[in-house]
Amino acid sequence: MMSHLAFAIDMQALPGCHRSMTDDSLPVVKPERELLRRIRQGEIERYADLIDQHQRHVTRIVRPRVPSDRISEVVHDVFVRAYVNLGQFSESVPFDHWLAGIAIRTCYDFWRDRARHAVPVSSLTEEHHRWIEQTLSVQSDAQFRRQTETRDAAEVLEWALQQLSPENRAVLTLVHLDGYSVREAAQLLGWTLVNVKVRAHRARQALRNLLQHISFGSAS
Amino acid sequence: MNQHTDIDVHKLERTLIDSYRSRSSASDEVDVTEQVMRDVRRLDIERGGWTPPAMLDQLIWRTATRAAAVVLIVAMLTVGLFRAQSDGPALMAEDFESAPLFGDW
Repeated sequence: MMSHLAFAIDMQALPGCHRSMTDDSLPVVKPERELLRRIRQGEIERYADLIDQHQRHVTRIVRPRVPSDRISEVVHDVFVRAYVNLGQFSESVPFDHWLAGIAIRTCYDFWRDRARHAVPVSSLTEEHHRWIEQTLSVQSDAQFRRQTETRDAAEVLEWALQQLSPENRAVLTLVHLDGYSVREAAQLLGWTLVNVKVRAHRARQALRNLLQHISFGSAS
Repeated sequence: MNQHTDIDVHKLERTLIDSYRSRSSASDEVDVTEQVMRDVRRLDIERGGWTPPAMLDQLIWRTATRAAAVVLIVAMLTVGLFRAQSDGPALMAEDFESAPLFGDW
């Protein structure tokens, strides 16, 4: 019973929850400003330097949010979108943070587009149900770690996220999975604080209902 | 029973979150520079090689606001002037009306 309770930790309290949307590996700011100025003045070939600098950062944001076979496509869209909107970048925030907002919104648009075209969602297989059973019977930390590393874990999470609306998915990913505050999530999505707060609560509740449903289904 | 279900849900939730985070920290490289630059060049040609400067939005809005204020002032002055001019003939008409007509003699 104690080992069961050990898992009942609020995930907001977990260390290392928060993922930075600014890229700490970028030490220089002034040359970047100069680079941006030159691109805006028409030296578009310099944009390739900017892509090279921020590609890893954008990929790190996009990777967990879209299917693995669509990562390149979405990263590409992020940079094209950033170029088109370069005139709106005010330099009041770091460039990588501004780019992170575009990446988040591009991923959200990706799921909105899929929902609009009614792409069928995957269903849980026998292996997934077996994985759920194994997870529920986990007793040690080593077993728990093994369970998180399987492909089934990623697929079950993907299945659960696919059941949510694109809006709830975007908020749940930012607030509950990445560990951002409601305020930060609102800034990245460009939504109001109240909207994000309400959606975060509803989305978490929807996820918990889904998990309750599948854990009960697997147990029975 | 309910407590048991809650613990199960927590356990599943925690496992899925950890799985998500381990996936996020994986580092497979993506290189889209070539494709993006191809599209950027195409966009640039479509826009005639002109990229809107950063302050353009602000400039447009400020100019529009000032132009609107000037138009409003000019309109108010014009209306005022027109009224002043139209008062003249009205007074003349009053003079004519006060003068006796031929038939009134």
